[in-house]
Amino acid sequence: MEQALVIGFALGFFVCSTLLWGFFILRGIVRVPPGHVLGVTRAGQEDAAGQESGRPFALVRSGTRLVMPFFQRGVLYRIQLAPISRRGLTVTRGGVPLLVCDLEAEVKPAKDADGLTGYIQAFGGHEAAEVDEVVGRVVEGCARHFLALHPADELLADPELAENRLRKYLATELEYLRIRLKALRLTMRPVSGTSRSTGASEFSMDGFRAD
Amino acid sequence: MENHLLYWILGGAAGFALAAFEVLLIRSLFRVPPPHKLLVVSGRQYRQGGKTRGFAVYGRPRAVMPVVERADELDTTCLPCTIEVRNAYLKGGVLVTARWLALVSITRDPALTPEAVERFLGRPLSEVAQVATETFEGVARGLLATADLQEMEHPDFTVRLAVEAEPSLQKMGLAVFHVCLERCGKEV
Repeated sequence: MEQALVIGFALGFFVCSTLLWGFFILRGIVRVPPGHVLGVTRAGQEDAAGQESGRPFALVRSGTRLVMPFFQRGVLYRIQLAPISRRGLTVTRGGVPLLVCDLEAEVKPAKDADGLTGYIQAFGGHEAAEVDEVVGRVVEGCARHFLALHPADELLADPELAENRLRKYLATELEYLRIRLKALRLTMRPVSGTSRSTGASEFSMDGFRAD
Repeated sequence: MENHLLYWILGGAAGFALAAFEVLLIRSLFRVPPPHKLLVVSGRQYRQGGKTRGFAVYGRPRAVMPVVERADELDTTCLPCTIEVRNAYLKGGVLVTARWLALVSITRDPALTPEAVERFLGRPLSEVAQVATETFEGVARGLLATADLQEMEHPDFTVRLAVEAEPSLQKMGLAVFHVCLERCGKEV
């Protein structure tokens, strides 16, 4: 009688334990699809003051990785950003419209481990569309700033030089967000007669009217 | 025979229960934050960064004592804040409306994170963004009053805006990633 109880208990424990751990281990096997990176939070060290040191998580860029159930946590992050395209941007300085620009840019998260860690910590939890929108707004804002700083004649005289300088400026600004600029195309044209009159707004960066 | 079968079943059920309890126990004992979040453990006195507080912040897995301790997560991702200042006076009494985009996040700097924990733990991210936006708006209004049209559009003005707002945001445990002017227009 007792023997049956003990054997039953041992068998029940073994079967249930195997099934549960098997299930969680199988669930912990993560394949990293292209355009994604797997961030795995892992245990680390603390210094004497109780502060953690070193990178808090491991990055897996491709292949398959076992994320230990309960002891690690893996999250798949998208590391592809949509191309940015802005048409008909009006750049102004001191209230005077200078240029109308078309801007196209290709951006990607940083490649090195530290940069990618920073990118994940900054944009990790956001929806893809939300990240694309934010990065697009940053690129647009930076481009306006840069172009507004320089005389329109100088920019129009040498568009290639202007594009290169803008590329450098954007690359530096995007580096703070752990994003790298892959490609940039800028086309500029002088403001036509009609776009100089912006209605109620005396000066505007793109015809924005305060109501 | 029937008695034996009953004992087998009883033993098996107890074994199942123990295995399930074991898994549940490990799950509740060990808390792991995702890479873009921090883990805040409270319930006892913790010594971290040379200070003793009622909570501790970790970016790594941590064992938590059930019942005694509690674990919460703090999101440290970037929050886009649209700073729109309407009807602000420039130097010389010119009335303008301007809009900036600021990217703000809860800092991961161990010295400043406790400030954010005290203010924003358990609050929605929209509330964090709203606090940052309002801080920026106040600073922007003050700065606009000292600038003219040209100065306002110059990138240096945006840098000044970020620099002036940073100390106030740091006191709340927030960090500024980026600020840029999006639009501006003169009120007529």
